[in-house]
Amino acid sequence: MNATAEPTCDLTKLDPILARYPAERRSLVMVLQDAQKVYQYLPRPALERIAEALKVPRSHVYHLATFYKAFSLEPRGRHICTICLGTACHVRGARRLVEHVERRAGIQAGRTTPDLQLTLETVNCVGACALGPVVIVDGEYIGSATTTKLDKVLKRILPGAAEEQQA
Amino acid sequence: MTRRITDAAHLERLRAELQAARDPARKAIAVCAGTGCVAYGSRKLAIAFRDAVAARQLDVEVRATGCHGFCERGPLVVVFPSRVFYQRVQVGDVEEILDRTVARGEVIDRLLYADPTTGRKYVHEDEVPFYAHQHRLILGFNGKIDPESLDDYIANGGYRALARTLTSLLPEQVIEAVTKAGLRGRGGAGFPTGRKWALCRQALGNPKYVVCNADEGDPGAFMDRSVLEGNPHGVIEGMILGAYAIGAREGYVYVRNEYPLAVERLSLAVAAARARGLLGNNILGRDFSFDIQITRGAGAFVCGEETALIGSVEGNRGQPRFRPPYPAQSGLWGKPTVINNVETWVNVPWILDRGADWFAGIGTAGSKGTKIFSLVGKVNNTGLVEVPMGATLRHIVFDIGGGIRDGRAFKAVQTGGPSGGCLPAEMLDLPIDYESLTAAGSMMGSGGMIVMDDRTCMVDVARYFIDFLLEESCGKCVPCREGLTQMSHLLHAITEGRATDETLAALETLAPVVQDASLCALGQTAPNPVLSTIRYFRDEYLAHIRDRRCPAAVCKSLITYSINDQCTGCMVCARQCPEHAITGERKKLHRIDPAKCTRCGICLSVCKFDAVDVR
Amino acid sequence: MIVNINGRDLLASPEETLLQVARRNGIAIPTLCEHAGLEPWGGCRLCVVEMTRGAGPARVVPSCLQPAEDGLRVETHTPRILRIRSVLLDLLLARAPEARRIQDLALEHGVKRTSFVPRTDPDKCILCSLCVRACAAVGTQALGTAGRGAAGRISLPFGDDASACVGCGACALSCPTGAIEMVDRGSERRIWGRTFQRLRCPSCGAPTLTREHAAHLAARSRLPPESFGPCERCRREQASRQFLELVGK
Repeated sequence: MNATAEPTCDLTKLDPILARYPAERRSLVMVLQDAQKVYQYLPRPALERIAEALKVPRSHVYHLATFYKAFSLEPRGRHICTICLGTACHVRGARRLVEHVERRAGIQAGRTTPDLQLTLETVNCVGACALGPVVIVDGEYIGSATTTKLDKVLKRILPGAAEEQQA
Repeated sequence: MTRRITDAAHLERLRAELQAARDPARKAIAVCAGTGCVAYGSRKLAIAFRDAVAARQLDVEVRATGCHGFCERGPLVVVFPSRVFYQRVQVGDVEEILDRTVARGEVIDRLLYADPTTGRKYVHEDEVPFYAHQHRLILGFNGKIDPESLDDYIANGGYRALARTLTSLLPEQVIEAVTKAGLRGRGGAGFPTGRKWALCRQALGNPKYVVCNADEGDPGAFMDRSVLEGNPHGVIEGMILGAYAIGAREGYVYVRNEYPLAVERLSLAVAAARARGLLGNNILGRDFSFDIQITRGAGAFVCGEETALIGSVEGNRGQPRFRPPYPAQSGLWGKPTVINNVETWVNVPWILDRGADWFAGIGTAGSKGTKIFSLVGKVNNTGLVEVPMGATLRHIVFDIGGGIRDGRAFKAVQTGGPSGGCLPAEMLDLPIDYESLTAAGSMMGSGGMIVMDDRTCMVDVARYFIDFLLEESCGKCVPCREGLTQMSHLLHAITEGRATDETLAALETLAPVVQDASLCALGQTAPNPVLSTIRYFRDEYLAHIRDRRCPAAVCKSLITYSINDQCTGCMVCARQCPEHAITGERKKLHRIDPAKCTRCGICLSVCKFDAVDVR
Repeated sequence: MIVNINGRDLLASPEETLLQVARRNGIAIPTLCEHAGLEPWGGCRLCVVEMTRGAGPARVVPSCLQPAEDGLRVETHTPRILRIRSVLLDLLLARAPEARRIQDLALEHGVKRTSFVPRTDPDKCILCSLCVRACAAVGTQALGTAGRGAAGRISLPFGDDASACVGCGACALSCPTGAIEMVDRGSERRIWGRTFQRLRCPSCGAPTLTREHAAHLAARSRLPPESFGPCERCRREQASRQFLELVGK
């Protein structure tokens, strides 16, 4: 699992979320989405509490959370870099951008750097196909992305990335 | 003004008031605020216009609209009333546009669209070839209205279909109209919408539900996103009409998690409709109540499949179920449910407003109305395109799309997303309708249309789609889960130069089994891209297998990068190469060591002298 | 209603599936993910048959789920169906090469070894989800599939939370390939990383249910836990004796 220790989870943050929806199975996906927004990922204690509150078995919550790619059960980085691998972006060379960021950050797509600075994700189409290849960093869309454009952004995020470029 | 609209007559009075208050000669600036243009900074542009207009105290309306469709050329600005069309507008152009075009009617040449081949410039929006060749029935609204304004929608005729229907039509007559119009599902399968509604109306069970499938997951497709962002009330009105037709009180819109702006605009529209009494109890004073809930997906392509979508809304994993029973008989929580795609819903008000015969007059014998396509890939004019059914692929790719970019050659066009197929040049005169695309080995799908040139490897495309579906497979059934796993192994072997003729034979044996035996359409259609590329591009497969060669120079294991004599010795590539595979002194020809080269492509992208060859 | 299977006209009722009609009439159709005590799942696809309605084309459908309809014509072993089954078993052999049941079924369909790329580090699980469904039906829904697609794995919540497990063994007993390890030694049962104590039959002393399982059944049935004390053989003997006493006197 994680090398870094998981910080203790403040379960009171769940109270307003649970109050927002009926306490039943059908609310589960929306509760998890709101919870992930608040915690930046889905900590185990939060999932256990949600199972209890919505009156569903723990297994149901856990196995549902692992089914949907939007949910992360591991802490994510302070910065999120999402690279679109939709068909239009693919034919415009998106794979190369993924490999480039993987190299720069030293992690594989889907993972987070050990210092929790950056999470690199791929997604199967964000619907901005005309601008491909598309990269989203911290909610900002970068259209017609190139390794050069990405390096500019990564310089701010990754320590040591700046030196690597000049090497 | 948030006064409740009490009945149809009140709505018409309101509409007349709004129209009277709108001076068609009034100066206005429409700034496209679809996701594409927003990525290019159009929000800042709209703010800059508003600030400048306020600072100069001008009587000019600044409107942020939904996606105009010509995404390639964003940020897009249209000046009213002249409808001068400007593309690639920057914040620095704002003052000049106000000074010259808005104040004096002067056209700014550099901001006009120019045809990339002829160089000819076009001034007005409807002259620009990209738009001129389209039939923008649905998308037409995107350029006109502020999606966050219910008044705009009403002023442009919105909710008139609803008013007429609730006051003078029975639910059965609504179904009759939709059936007569010949509307077919726009999500991919093309099932006759009227028949689905009739089945649901007849089904036993209460309550009934209407659902809008906005889980647009096909990579390369963004039509639904643009409709939701640009004209959410069009979708809402369609759903209210559908609910009236089948007898539903509750509706759900299931939106992809990856579409935050669509969720936002839709939520605002639902709230506005509710506040005015267009959703909720006793709509327009009639004995009919209906409301909508918005629910989001969570990153699973398979949830675009209707039974998986139902599972997801119910709070389960998104795994498809066997049909029968069909959702029209037993859907959400076992109740009769109509599930339709965004584009299907937004067509409904048009049918009820203008009439079934009018709608049936557009398109072909079997496929009525228009279809929105997202035209992307190696084409000059990428963006959203709306054409009548029956338009040819050639018309879309060349007349509207402006042909292949960078002067390269057309190779194929992929339609139907991961469920569709790749069609070669010989099929360019195929009229687009449900049946003809299926007969050619592809399918209509949701509307993604990806254009490929001679630098696209068709085997790589097949591999890409199989890998995509493998990752998105829910895993419930063996043919999809295990079949796609093995098809991926086989395609990787081909693209990595490890294949034999047996590899191709194995693919051709597996494909029909996956088609026949899979539980849902994801698996059943997964072999299509593979089968269509083998059908039309068999030689390319054989080149990979027998000659260990990738004719399009894409497959990494089969290509070499080398430096030609255009090299000026600037050393930029050598510095950027992550494997330090490039050697060379300043001003001297550089060399790539093939043993170290990983074909990452960085040298190719940074070289300003075209000195890197890929073969 | 009449359903024609392999040329034979057979009586069927509307609630039946094609598989049920076939089996009732001695027509064998292979299955892997099916269990009489559970709702049909339709995941293994081995039970597929060719079905024709009127003049329409023959369609491949899973017989475990397809409802019987008057006038259907069904073929259970056409070349198309046999090819599908042998390819499916070939695929399963690549996934779980050591699973005996798969090896046997594959051999029956002419597949001696897989022609595909075997899974790296394979276990015996074929993701039929019988264990998950059995646990949900008679147990406590303590199991599920983590992840999705080919990366799915049957697991406890968080991989290690066995707190909901009552040691009933339904999962291990329903698994067609023996992929779940359950070790019974004396009155001890070890499964899913937990050790359970099994109660003993008050009559013969044989180990029966785990304490937790008995409590679970008591809660579900509202019968007292002691009802679940006797082992099956003793329970039958007891019931027979009572019956004989009843009729004998």
